[in-house]
Amino acid sequence: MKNKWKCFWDNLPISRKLFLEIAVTAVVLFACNLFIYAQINQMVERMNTVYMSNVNLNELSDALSNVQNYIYKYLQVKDSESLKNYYRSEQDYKKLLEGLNQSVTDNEIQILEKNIRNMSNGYLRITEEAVQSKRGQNVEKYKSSYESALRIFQFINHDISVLNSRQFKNNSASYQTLQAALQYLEIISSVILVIVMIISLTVMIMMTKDIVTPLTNLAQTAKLVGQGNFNVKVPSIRTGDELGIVTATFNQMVDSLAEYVNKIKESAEKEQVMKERELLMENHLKEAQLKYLQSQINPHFLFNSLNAGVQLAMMEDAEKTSVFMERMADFFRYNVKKGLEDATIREEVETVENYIYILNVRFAGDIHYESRIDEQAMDFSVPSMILQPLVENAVSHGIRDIEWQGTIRLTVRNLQEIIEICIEDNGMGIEEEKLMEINSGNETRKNLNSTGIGLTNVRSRLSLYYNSEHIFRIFSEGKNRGTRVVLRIPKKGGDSNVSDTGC
Amino acid sequence: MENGKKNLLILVVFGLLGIVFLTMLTATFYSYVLKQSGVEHAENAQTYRYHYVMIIDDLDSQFWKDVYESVQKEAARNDAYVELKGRNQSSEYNVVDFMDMSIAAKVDGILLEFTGEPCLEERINEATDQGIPVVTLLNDAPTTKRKSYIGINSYELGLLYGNQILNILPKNRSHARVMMLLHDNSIASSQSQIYKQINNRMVTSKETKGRIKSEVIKVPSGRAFESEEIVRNLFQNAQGPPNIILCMDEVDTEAVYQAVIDYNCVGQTQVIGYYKSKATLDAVRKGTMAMTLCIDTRQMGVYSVQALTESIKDGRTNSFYSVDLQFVTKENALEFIRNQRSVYEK
Repeated sequence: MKNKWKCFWDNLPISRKLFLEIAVTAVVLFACNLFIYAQINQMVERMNTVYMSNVNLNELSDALSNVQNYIYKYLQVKDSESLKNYYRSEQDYKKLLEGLNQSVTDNEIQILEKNIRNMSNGYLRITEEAVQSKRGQNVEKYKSSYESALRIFQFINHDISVLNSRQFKNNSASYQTLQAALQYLEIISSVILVIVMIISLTVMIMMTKDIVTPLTNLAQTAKLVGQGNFNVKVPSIRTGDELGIVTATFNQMVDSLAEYVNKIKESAEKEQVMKERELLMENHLKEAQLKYLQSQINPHFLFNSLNAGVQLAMMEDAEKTSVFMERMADFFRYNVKKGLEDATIREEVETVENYIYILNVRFAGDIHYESRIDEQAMDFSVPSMILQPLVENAVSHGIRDIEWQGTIRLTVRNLQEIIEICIEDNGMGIEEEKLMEINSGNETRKNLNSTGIGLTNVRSRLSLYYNSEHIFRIFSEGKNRGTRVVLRIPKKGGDSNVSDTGC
Repeated sequence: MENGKKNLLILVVFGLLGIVFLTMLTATFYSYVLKQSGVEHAENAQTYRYHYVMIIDDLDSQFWKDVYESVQKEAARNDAYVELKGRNQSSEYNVVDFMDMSIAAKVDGILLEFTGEPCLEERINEATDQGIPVVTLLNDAPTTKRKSYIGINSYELGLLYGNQILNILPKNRSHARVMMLLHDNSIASSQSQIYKQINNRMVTSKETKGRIKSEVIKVPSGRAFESEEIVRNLFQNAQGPPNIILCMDEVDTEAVYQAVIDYNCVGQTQVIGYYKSKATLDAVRKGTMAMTLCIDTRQMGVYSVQALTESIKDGRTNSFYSVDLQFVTKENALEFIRNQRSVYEK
């Protein structure tokens, strides 16, 4: 029941709550006033009736005197007017007598009333006899009747006056007690009113506080939130009124705000990281290009000249020279063209083959080149110019100065999630210390020359591009035991990637 | 917040309790006031079947107050209410008027202290003729149509008085005066009877024959301070005060006793008192008063109501109820007082 009521109260709208508070207070005050008013009114009415009995007795006494006066007058002059008056006053008196008590009680006043009533009845009977006797001209009888009537009249009057004085005494006492009671009532009423007022005020203040406190809390919290503190919360209210809704919604809002801000921060950080990476990649690419350009002097001029050389060789029917010149031109064109774009593995492999051809022409077929290519892997894209520098590296550091037949082996395997590219030579190999140095990325660049895009550049670009350090690994089993570079490249469709944005 | 709510609840509960308490207090007080003011008193009055009137001469007499008390109790037991009528200082009516009033008021029965006033006997007869039974108390009106008499046998009482007087009179004294103060006007009244018997006893006894002179003074009723004047006269008389003064009234008793002390006659004048006012009993206990006559008022009340009730219900009753009486002397005063207390406590 209590819970039910509490639930009902909690779910009331504030306006209804306020209205109920004021209404209940008003009703209580009104009821209290009504109660007090009723009591005082009753008391005042009692006071009014206190002397009523005396008034009634006086009326009775007057009526009796009238009867006596008219009978006397009638007996004196025997006129019909007096007789009429006598009968009328007798009727009046009888009527008044009916209000008197006639039972026997131990109350003195009631006994007196009974006596008066009985005596009056006897008196009226005697007066009637007197009237009859007067009519019948029975002089003796009416005189004696009048005598005894007069005597009883005196008794009645005496009893009435005794009753009157007793009642007056009683009434005065009653009046005094009533007056005292009235004063007491006034005091009690004031006390009750004050108590009711205090209670009503306190209840109203506390209830209003119930409503205002959450509002104040809300305002303070809102201020804090406005200053950017999302970790504050309004103490939750379980009521179902507007305040409950506003508080719950506010808390929810603060939570959402904090979440959004965090998300934005995170994405800003991510963007920052990505931008940095892009910038770095661009730098490396630029560096590679710069070095390439520096080393190639003017590739356009160069491969235009080479094209001119191809045509010249064809005209002279020097076929080998023509093929050589064309491969040279392709190689350099690829370098120039693919500088900023992703390439497919196929293009990369072709470039490697061109390079090997050129080298073999240059060094009279010193280099054995073997390739084992998985055709399905050929169309996946990779950053451009990553294989040629590795092959160049294998040639210049691996097999250039060896005594035995140098071989370079390129393997492209299509694995489940990655494409594994392996460039292997049977050259000088790398000592363990140096290998660790290279793998840790602290390789010195002093010996780097030729096309100039060194190992470090390739590795940095790969790790930036794929956001992973594990793409590029170098293996060597020791001095004169060859070197193996393995690229484990995540599969990526023909689409170009983030690196494009760098252009 | 919860704490605040708890406090609020406590405040509200206490406030409500306070209001309820005050309201109850007011209601109780109010009903008390109404009772006090007598407005409701009439409603609480007990109702009876019969209405009797008890008419006595002197409303201030302790004796009659005691009788009335007993009568009231007995009457209540017999479904009757007894109204007391009598003379007081401001009253302009006498016993005859009260009889008239009672007859006119058609009461159911009258208890009358018969004072022997002229016309009183007529009124008794008139009342009886109108169907109102009359019972006389203490003094009888044997020639009337009264239904019954409750009191003492004058003859016997006279003899008892005589014996007591003989007891307290010095045996060897040659001459002694016994004075009796009467309150009765009629010659045939009870008090006269008593006097006659005392006189008889004095005259017929061998021991006292010729040496004791008994006298009587009639104290007329209706005039103020009469007995006091008469008593003072007795003591200022050239003859000196009598040896024994016999009182038939409480006021006389106290007046005489006071005079005995004032005129320094203790031991010289013996007083036989009437009834048991505190001063009288004290005097008897101390020995300054010879004795006092006590009539059993309780018995008188019971008998009188019984007589009235019987005569209304059965139409007849005993014509005489004898009431116990006792002379209280110095010897049995203490015991008497103790008995009185235990009777009252009952």
